Amino acid sequence: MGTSMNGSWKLGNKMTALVVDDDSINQTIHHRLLEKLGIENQVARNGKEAIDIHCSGKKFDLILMDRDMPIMNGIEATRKLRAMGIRSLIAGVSTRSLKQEIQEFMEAGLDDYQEKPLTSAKIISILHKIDHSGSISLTRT
Amino acid sequence: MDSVIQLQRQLVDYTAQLFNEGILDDQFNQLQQLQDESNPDFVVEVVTLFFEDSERLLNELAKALEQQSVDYRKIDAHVHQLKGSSSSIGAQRVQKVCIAFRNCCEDRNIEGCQKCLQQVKHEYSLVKTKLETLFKVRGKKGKNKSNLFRMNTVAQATDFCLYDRSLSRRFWQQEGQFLGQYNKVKTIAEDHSQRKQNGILDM
Repeated sequence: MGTSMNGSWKLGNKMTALVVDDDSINQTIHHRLLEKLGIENQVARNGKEAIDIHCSGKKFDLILMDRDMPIMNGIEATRKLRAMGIRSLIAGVSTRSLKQEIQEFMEAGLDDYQEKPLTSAKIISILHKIDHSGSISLTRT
Repeated sequence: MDSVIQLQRQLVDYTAQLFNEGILDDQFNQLQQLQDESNPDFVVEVVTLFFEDSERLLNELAKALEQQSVDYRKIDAHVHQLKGSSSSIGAQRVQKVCIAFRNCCEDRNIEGCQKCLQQVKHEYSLVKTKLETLFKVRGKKGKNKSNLFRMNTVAQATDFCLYDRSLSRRFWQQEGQFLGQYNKVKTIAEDHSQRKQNGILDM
């Protein structure tokens, strides 16, 4: 039993996502989690790669942003993306649980924050924040 | 057929034991749910990444603790990574030792750190052995032709395995016995296949 997404988002295209994480285990798991939910996704290894991908013109419905990464971390990358005018749903993902650390990350421009490790339930709860007009429907398979 | 069912039951019990002992937690279930026909080796792939990562980190930690002047920040960074990856695959006991390890780093307690390193090495080695046994018996990448767990029909099972009364009587507690049993059944299955091929078939 699983849950699949029938997403119609922006001109009826399939939902897209960007996984930003420096850890290969998390990259593999998050990529697969999204794939299983029917969300097309690609992976960036750090904040700078995430910015570069956006500069090349690509846009995503959802960005899963890890906090601690080399070259450019998640806080800085989130700030930069918002400054660039990116309005995608950005969910911060981290193992850090201190209130002020979460606050700091949220203030960079996050729409949501989830503690690692991610599960499909957590991703679904992030997605419920995307669009309250119900353009996303979740069906059980 | 009976022996296949027994072995399947033992696999279920073996897996349940790992959860009961806290060696694995629910995150491992999450990984198993991500595996299907389109991604049949997902769990093995992720766990392999974990093994590679962990071995590298454990080496780095050993080296760092041997230094004249210990760099606690570096050690903390490595442990943080190990904590993250162990929690991602559900290696609960490894994760727990990492938490204690980080506390020792914070206190700049060299003896505590050394003790934690030994503990984390022990827990890592334990979960590695258990997972390797699990994968061996479950079979990986379809190369294991006598993978008893891919058999769903009686016809398939009898094709590969002789009925052996003695297999159904014992309940395996020890891992060594479990593996020994698996090897025994495998040998019987291969022998059976060979006999069938040679035209000598006894059931």
